[in-house]
Amino acid sequence: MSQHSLIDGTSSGGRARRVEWAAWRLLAPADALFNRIYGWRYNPLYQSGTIAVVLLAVITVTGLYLVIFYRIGTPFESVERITSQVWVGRWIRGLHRYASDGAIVAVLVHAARMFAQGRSWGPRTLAWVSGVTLLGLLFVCGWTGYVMVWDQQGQALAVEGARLLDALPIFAEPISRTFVGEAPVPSAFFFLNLFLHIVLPVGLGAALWLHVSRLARPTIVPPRKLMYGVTALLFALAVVWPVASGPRAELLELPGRVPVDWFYVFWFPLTRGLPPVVALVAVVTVAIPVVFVPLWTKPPGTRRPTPSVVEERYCTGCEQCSLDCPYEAIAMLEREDDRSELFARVDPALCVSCGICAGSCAPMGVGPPGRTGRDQLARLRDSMTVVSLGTADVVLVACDRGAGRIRDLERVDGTTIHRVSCAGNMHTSVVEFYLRAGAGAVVVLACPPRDCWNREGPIWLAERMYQDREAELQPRVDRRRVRLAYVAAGESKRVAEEVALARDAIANLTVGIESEDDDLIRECEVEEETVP
Amino acid sequence: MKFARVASAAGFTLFAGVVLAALSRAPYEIEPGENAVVRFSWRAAERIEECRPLTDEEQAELPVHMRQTETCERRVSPFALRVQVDGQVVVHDTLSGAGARGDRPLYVYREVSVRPGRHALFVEFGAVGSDDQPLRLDQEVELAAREVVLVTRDSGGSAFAVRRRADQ
Repeated sequence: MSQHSLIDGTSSGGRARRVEWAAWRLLAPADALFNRIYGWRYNPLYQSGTIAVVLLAVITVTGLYLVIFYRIGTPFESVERITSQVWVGRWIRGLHRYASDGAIVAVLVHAARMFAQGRSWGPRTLAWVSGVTLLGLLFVCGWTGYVMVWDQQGQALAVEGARLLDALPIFAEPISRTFVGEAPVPSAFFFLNLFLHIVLPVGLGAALWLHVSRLARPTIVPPRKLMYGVTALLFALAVVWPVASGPRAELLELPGRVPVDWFYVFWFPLTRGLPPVVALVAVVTVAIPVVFVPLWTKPPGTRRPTPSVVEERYCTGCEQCSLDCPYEAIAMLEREDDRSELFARVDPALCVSCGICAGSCAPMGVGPPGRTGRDQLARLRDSMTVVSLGTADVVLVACDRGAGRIRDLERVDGTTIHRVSCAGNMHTSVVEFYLRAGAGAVVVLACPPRDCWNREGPIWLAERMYQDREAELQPRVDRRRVRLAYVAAGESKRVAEEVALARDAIANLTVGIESEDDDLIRECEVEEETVP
Repeated sequence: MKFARVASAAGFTLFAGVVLAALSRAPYEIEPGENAVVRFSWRAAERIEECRPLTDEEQAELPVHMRQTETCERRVSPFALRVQVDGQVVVHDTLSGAGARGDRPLYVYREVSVRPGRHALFVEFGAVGSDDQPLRLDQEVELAAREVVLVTRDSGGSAFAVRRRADQ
């Protein structure tokens, strides 16, 4: 059996930087593991961003309940009262705490994914920076939340925070004086702390709006089962393992061994031993490279994917590319000549060069240079002069950022590998072309929808192949020879399974064709004649 | 197969939940050891004001509504702080007023870690170059493990005061 590899000339593997690649090498097996456990639809790694949003909602709702009973004059006692006397207060407090912890995990996983996948620069800069801002705000919210409890953990956080802030030459009097023990901590401090704890989430909301503002159809919540599952898990934890305060804060007593929340206090052992200025410099030294990720991961100009362009003479003004663009980068403008009323125009500042528009355009008039439908077919025609396909051959269309990265992909005998930058970039004519060229079957290995680097590639491709979405796979194409599978980069075994299923389909097809209804054959022939 | 998958998903979810809850309350020794602390904290705002008459030329340069007969420069006098614990000097600093011009009040904040038990404290705080008597504290204090004793100035600022948790 032979094995061929055809590359559509758009491989963006070189774009990934070494550090991103290293992160991705960790991410891919984790994705595969979670896919095996939960399935791609409910994979919490894929849904980390939406899970974070749900947890923020849980934090907000539970926080509103808790604040009704919180008293700035007696912070510790009021939290104790919430825990022991208020109706379901103990559980709501536990849910509030665990949701806060879960939100940190979800946001960190989400950020790590975006970094590993190189989805942090160019038009995505705003999303990255606003996401990092969200994470920072979340940390500060947690900080103020623990100070509200005013147990020894809260005291340590307040004292450390004051120590760090006093290093900044912006306060008329050192904040640390509040905690020396000369007098009880004034209610004004707890009022300010509570104010911040309530106002900062408003900032979180604003940052979240910014975070998704450049997306055409942002996915805000995860699938219901996952949403309810995560919330139920945290609530169950709150019931079974309720949270409790540590010993009461005492300014004239050194805090000892107390339970701390490592999701929010992990930095504490690192900064405590440092002079405040050094600790602040260390924080800034860590924060700056994180905020400026879009700057240092941006590929050099020559390797940067070019934005899509519209070939106006082919544009029929159907608006499909504008509808399909996940980043609202394509606007429909009024045409001045006597052809269709509208024509498409790409905003290069918003275009991430995903090429999904190329897959959406029936007349193949839009797409990144070299990756339009026309370019894809032209390249295929050229490659067919050196490669011949037989009816037993299976063509594997693999996304360069997903299944295309599987090392064993090249070792599957009897397959021809066709790499694409995104499954959504592939024009459905490519599938038809392969089958017409004699291939037995075409298996499209798309990334799981929530893991698409371009957000909606596999979704649109599935609709183009099976639900007549423009530019649809023509009805004349035998769907029994076509498979669409969602395979992540770490799922090498799945490829062999999909190829085996495709071969079975071909085998059944051969048997089936012998007894096929003559009318059906005639119908297909007629349809083929009418298609221009 | 489906049961195995559901069971593994449930098991992993439970495991993740337990890890989350455990990390949410894992113990940490914020202040290791059993030592006590003597904390020195107070505010000193005694200012030195040096005034001189403005010359006619200087007044002429000022807008009419801002003309004054004299100009004053204020600063907080530098203070010397010396602390001895059991006869050993543990702090010996000269402190200046806060702010870029050094004209803001001066804040003292020092912590000295000591073993639990009885200790002799000697504190001296006075303006550098001043003929006034510096503030002095010469006292023995008994400190329990993890206790913090605060040495501060009394409300009038004329003497040191020692505060501890039992006093509050």
